Amino acid sequence: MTGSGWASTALRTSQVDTEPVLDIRGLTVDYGVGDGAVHAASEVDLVLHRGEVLGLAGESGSGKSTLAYAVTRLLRPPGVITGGEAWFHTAEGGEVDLLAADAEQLRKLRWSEIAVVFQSAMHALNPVMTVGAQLTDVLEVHRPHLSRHQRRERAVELLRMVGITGDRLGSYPHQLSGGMRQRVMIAMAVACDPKVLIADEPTTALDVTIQAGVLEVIRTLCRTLDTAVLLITHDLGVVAEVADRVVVMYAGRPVEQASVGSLFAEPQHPYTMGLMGALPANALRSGDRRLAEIPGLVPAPVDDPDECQFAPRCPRATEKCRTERPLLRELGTDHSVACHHPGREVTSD
Amino acid sequence: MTELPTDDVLTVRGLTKFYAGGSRMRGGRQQVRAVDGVDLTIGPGEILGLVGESGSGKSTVGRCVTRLTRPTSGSIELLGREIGHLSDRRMRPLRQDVHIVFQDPYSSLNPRMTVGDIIAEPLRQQGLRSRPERRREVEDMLERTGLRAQTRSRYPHELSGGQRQRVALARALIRRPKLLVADEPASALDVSVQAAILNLLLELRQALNFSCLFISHDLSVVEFISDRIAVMYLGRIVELTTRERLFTAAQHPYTQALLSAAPVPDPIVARDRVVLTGELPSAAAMPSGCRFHTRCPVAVDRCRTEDPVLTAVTSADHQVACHLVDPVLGGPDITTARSAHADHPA
Repeated sequence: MTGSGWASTALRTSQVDTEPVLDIRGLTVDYGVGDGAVHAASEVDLVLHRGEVLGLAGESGSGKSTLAYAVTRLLRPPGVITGGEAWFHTAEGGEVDLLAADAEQLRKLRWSEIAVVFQSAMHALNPVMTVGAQLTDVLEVHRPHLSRHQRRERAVELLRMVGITGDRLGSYPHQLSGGMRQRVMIAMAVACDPKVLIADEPTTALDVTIQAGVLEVIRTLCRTLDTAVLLITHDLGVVAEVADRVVVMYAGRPVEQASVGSLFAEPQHPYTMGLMGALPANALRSGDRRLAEIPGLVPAPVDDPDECQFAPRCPRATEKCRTERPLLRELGTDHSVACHHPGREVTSD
Repeated sequence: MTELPTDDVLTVRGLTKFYAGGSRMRGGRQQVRAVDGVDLTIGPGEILGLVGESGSGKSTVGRCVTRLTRPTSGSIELLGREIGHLSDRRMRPLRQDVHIVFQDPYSSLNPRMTVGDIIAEPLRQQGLRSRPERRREVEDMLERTGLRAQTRSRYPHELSGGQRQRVALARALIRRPKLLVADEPASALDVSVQAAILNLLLELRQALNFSCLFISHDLSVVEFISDRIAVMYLGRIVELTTRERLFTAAQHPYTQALLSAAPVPDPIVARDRVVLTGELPSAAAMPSGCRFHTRCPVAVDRCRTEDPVLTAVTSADHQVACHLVDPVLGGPDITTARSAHADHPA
């Protein structure tokens, strides 16, 4: 299964109907407890399939990073997982609920099955260890059968995969540029051929020319190793570049979910449309010297709302939107939206 | 204020800014050439976009132009007056004509001052206007920047990032400067908020008619807002032309690579991406010849030895610093040389 995905939309979508590797159901995460608790993620359902790149897009406060921390069980107080399941399908055909797994189970899964790259990955490297030592460390723990020599060879191979020459094994993190450090982190993450790679804003701190290289690495890994990638980003451009499917989050809930081609060709949720209209690149293409704005702010969801959380900012909100929260419903093949009035109806203004 | 030798609001010639860098413990002190010979002009009411990656020196140019730092050499003419080497005291009365908005709205506003005091500070600093007059002007600026009148008595921590950036704009524009330097004013904000700030900047430019040096790393933002665009690489401008020309007929290989690397929010657009090999060389160890040759996919021998000058080759409004630009054929096409490997910096 090495569809190019890079260029053709048809190929991207055809990849999707494969087996799921991570199945998140009803995940709810609160910050704080009691009345003041903020629901950072509410009843999130999400399926990640083998060999696909799933883009998780949203603005700050939408709960996309919280999701990553919760699923990997790296959430720190005051964050609390208050509900849901996250079933990881292991290589042996078994299933593990990551949210209920004990420390030992998690230890086995981390790195070898599920790996994470965070935005600040360039600060996540140990400054007093060489890059090579850190890479072989991972292998020593999770691939104990490898000899020292094999570990070293594998480390060189990994670095080459992300476009760094083997002579960098002896370098310390401060001797590398930001882009190289980020690529080293990706190399470490995929050292044990994980089935799932969770990448939280992996290129946000990087320059565009470097970003292009890192995204290509992620895309290639996904194709060659069949790794499923959950790519969390605020940048719709990045989503369009590398993702097969997209989930748009707003105020802790997915509001739209579709294949990349379908989402960008026919966005259904007013929020998604708003985001796209706000992109300078899109305004330029339509010859506009004015960007679409979304009035208001992302709410901090304290209570379980009876209304659509986007309604206060939505240009087409009706009475129904203020009294009944829309649920995610299927519109066409592989396109679902949580909106009472989806589609293009009143986008002209 | 009355005599204007040139029409341009800002004329920068041969601007350099060197910092002392390197480890003193190792004995050697290097010179970091952050800005290394920059020429540019900004006309009345014009927005000049200055785009480049981190370390290209674009922010240092902004800081020199606003005289937040003293340039090492070169001339900066603001409204026809040389300000490059004025003392801080002599510079003070001229500060009314140039103001700056920074990237981070969380650290550029004094957390202990109310929004009203922050916006009025440029007036108060220069002992201008009576208290009620200042108050009126603050109210005017709040309205122009789309903030509610009550915001006056708020503190920065009570505001969102977008609102803070509006406050920063109000403060920068209350003296009606002729030149606004905007250093990544929308980069720290979410796209929907960024859109509002960019729209506001264009509106205010229309209403108050200032010129703007708009510094950003984001090509699509720069394309949206600028009239002309300068691309910087390692302390130099490598290409300077109108917005239309830059995005339709980029000549410098670096500009082409930058355009090709920028993600486009459209999955249908299948593109021939050119990924640059190698990393940005350090400004302390500048490559010989053309400073881009270490990553340039089409570099020839001449590029390694001879430093190209920024000149107009194909037309007067399109300046580029590259040996390979042909008066008839335009710039080299870097997509043709994709398989050829550029050599890494040693």
